[in-house]
Amino acid sequence: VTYHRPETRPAARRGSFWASATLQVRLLTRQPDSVAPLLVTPLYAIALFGFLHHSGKSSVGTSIFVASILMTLWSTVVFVGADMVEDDRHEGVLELVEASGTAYLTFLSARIATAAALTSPAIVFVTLIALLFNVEVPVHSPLVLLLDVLGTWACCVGVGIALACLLAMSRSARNYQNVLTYPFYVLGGILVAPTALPAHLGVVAPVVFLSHSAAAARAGLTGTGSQWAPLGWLYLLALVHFGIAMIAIRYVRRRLKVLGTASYA
Amino acid sequence: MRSGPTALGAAYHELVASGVADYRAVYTLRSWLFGWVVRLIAQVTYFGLLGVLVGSADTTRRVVLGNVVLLTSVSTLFAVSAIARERQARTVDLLLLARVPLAASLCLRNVVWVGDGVLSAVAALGSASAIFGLGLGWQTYAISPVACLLAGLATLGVALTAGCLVLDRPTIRALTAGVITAALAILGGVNYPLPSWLRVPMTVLPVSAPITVLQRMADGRSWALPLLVAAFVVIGWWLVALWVVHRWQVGTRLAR
Repeated sequence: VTYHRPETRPAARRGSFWASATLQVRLLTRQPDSVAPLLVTPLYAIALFGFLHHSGKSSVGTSIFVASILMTLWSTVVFVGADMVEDDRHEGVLELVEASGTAYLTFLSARIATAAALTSPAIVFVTLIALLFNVEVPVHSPLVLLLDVLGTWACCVGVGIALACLLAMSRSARNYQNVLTYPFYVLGGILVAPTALPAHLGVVAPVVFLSHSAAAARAGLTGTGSQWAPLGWLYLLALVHFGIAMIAIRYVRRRLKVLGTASYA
Repeated sequence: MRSGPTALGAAYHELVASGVADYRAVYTLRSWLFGWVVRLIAQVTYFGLLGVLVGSADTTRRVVLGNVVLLTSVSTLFAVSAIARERQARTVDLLLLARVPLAASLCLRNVVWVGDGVLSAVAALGSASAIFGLGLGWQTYAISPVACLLAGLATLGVALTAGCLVLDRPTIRALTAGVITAALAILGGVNYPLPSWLRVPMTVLPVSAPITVLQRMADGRSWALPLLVAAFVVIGWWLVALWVVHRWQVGTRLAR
């Protein structure tokens, strides 16, 4: 295989981005199992709102609304995004991308962003469930919410790429993929603010982007608490995650080339 | 060559052993403990936080006990994927040719997931109890493996049924297990008691009666009846599984 320099012209890069996004939509629609988190996780909103309905504490409806959406977004990144590099090696796609001259970072970013964006219907679904259970979801600051969603997507793409690289490099890492769901929901304080977590579980929350995402969403919805500080942290973490993702992707590409194991196909 | 009951006994033993060998190809002790069990402890903790959210220790205890039983089902439902994989690995052809009935083969090869479920659920109960300071009596801890075992065995019946139904559709095996788990979380009385009109029909779910056993034990109330119901639910699901496996087997033979 001859490796070419990745395409650097902006127009070509945009073309690659959209082609990759389209590819991802096709892949997801042909493999129902690969969209399982996207379809299943929002169902837990029914369980959570059912609990709320039974408890009669409508004041915590916002927390449950935010938690339900973040669960879907994060589980999609962990189970759809993180498998991409490994799947590409199995399918022989990685070699083709390398040979095509498309930057693998563009290719991966577009696909993980697409998977994350496909969780948007889950937001509508969760909202409908909330309405069904007569839970009022206030919107205090739409701008904060919009920035929060964009920042969260950016973090998801960065983390997704880094995870995809990690799982492609270490076979044993796959066994720990499950640790990335519920432990992060707890440590990120998406349901209960990190300060209210028992047994000092909230100490690591500042470095988990989900905690800032949830804090900004709760503030944007209810108007209580700081709105801009969590957003600032969220975007800072997005930059950090992207930095890690770029280093990880460079390392993986070099390593796969050196070892000649870019493809299992 | 051995024949009769001895040979069948050896075959049953081999089937369980092969299931354990397949399981050990998935997990090492370290990845099970620090991967899977940590995730399950976190799952119970996450839903237990619902009690913290509404400021009720009673709710935390109830939700934790419900989710501990659900974990057994979560683990056992891996059998759905394992059964669907039998098709891809072409081992199902060998199982069809064997003298042991197919339902028994599938059951024995997947019983290891029930063991996984019971062990990890009990570990999660202990951990969540320490995190939230639930102060459960020893009786609750003592009966938790029994309640989880009943939930696991009933879920194995569900998994055999679902596994057989998706045996020819391997692309939806994870989706199937995920939807079943979500349905159990919604309708099994895991996080909240069901309304009275829904409670009786939902008793057929593998987790409902075992959850009632644990919650009643924790409340110091009578738990014998739900334990008996849980045993009947196990028998019911196994009968359903037997019938579905038999139907699939008949269909396969006709197709050949």
